[in-house]
Amino acid sequence: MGKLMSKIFRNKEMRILMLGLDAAGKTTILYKLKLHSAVTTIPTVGFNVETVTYKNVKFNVWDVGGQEKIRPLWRHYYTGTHGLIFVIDSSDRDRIDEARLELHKILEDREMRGAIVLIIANKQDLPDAMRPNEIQDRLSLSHLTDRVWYVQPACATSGEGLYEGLTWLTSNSRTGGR
Amino acid sequence: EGPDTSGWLPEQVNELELLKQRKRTLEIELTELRTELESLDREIREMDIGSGGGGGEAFEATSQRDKALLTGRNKFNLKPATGIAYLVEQGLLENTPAAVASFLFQSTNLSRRAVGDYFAHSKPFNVQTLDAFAGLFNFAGKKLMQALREFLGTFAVAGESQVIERCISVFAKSFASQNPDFPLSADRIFVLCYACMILNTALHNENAKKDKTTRIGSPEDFQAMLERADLRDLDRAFVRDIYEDIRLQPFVNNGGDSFEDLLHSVCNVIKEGYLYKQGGKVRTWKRRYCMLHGGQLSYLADKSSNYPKGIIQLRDLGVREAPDKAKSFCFELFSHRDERIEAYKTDSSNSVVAGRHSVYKFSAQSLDDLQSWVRALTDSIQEQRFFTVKRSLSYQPQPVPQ
Repeated sequence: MGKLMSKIFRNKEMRILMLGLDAAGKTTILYKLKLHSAVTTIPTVGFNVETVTYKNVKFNVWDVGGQEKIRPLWRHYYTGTHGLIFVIDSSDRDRIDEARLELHKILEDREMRGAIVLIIANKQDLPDAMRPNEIQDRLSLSHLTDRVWYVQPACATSGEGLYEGLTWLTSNSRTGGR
Repeated sequence: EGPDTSGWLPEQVNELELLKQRKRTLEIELTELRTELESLDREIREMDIGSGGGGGEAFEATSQRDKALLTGRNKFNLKPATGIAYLVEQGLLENTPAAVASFLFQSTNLSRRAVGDYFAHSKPFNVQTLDAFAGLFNFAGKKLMQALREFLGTFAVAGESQVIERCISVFAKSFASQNPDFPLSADRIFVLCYACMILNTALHNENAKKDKTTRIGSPEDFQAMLERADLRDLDRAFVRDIYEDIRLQPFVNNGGDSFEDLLHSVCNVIKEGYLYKQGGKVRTWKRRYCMLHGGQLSYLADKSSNYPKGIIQLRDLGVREAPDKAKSFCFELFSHRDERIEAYKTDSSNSVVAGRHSVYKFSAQSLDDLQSWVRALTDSIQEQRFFTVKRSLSYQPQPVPQ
């Protein structure tokens, strides 16, 4: 294949980090997205990683995160990250403040400067779930100046909202998408 | 051995040889008889106990306890929290993190995946149990990587960052306290081992390997990653050794978590082995690992598969030898009324569908193999019938007369 041809057909690649508190639904989201790719038989000991190709864009999603002591380790990986998916359990009002601190801490990182932020407001199917507007307030998203962000309501167990989220990432990324 | 035969006549030598041979034959027979005698003895003892005769009560108590333990284990493997709750309720397990930890540490037949699931929960009780569990290992004097591998090999660590963080954290604490001379504090061991988990993922996870944007797989990256995390002063050779250790051999959970493992821990597998199974629509023969258990025949693509390809319910079926032109030693499972057999399989898109056949045909490896499968299947079908009758009459067990 000639250089031109490969340029045209080459899939774009986006590096996406996924963060969120325990039980926010990260693993379920990864499994749901993975249904379209080959199923791995022997899981490797280590972090959940999935590659998902959607609308010609290849997403490499890593479940990362954790306490202060290990954040510097991930920082090495942050460099060049196109997008951050931050998963929220919309029904967990008790820990929304903890989630806010976690989110703002990672966004302070120099390496994350260029990353766009997709908040997945998960578990919208639960009766008591916070709606996107409330989540936007509780996470102080309006304080994020000079940052592209979006709150996507979703229900990971049914898959609702997930691909809409990916679409938002592709159409708003400066580096990876269109 | 034996007399000096020099100067003997040839007939005498011959006679000696015959005697020796006879002796050997008798010895073999004697051993066989002894074994048989022992096994008969065992059977008699068991019958004696089973009928409630002398010493039966004690046995019954232990047997009840064993049964409850087995039930607890089975429940644990399907749903960890339920299994623990059951054992506590039965008075077989103290409801403390230390007791549960030592149960998980000592029990065989627990599914590594189930133990991993149990430790993945962030409830304080589960976290304390994980902490106590790490304390039960003997890490004293061991190399760091050796100890880490030993720890990771005992349960399937979930891939969520928070879970990994908790697991590595308790490991580091236990390793540090057992190795007071080790040059790094528990905190720094934790950071180092966490970095090892990232490295293991980057080097060996199939998806991560496909990820061309990853920049944490080279020895320089690993070194740089550690330097960022305040492990700048680590000896370069030490870091390089760790890198090579992980590069050459991924972290693994010993003894996989295949369907076979799960089945053996959940129920009694009566017979298992490779058979050729004839396809339904396209009449090709595929080699399948077949397992007969609890009134079902499961067949797997391979012995190490995580899930079966299909399951056939044996109730009300017949089994017969069925000669075939293409294959030898064939038998088939059939419906007496030529109805659809209750069976499920996963299709090419990995979804579960009901089978549509009234006959399933298999080919065994030898005549012996064929006969033993037919016998085992016949017995199992009989047993199912008995249980069905028992259930429909709401059978009450009668006390055995003395």
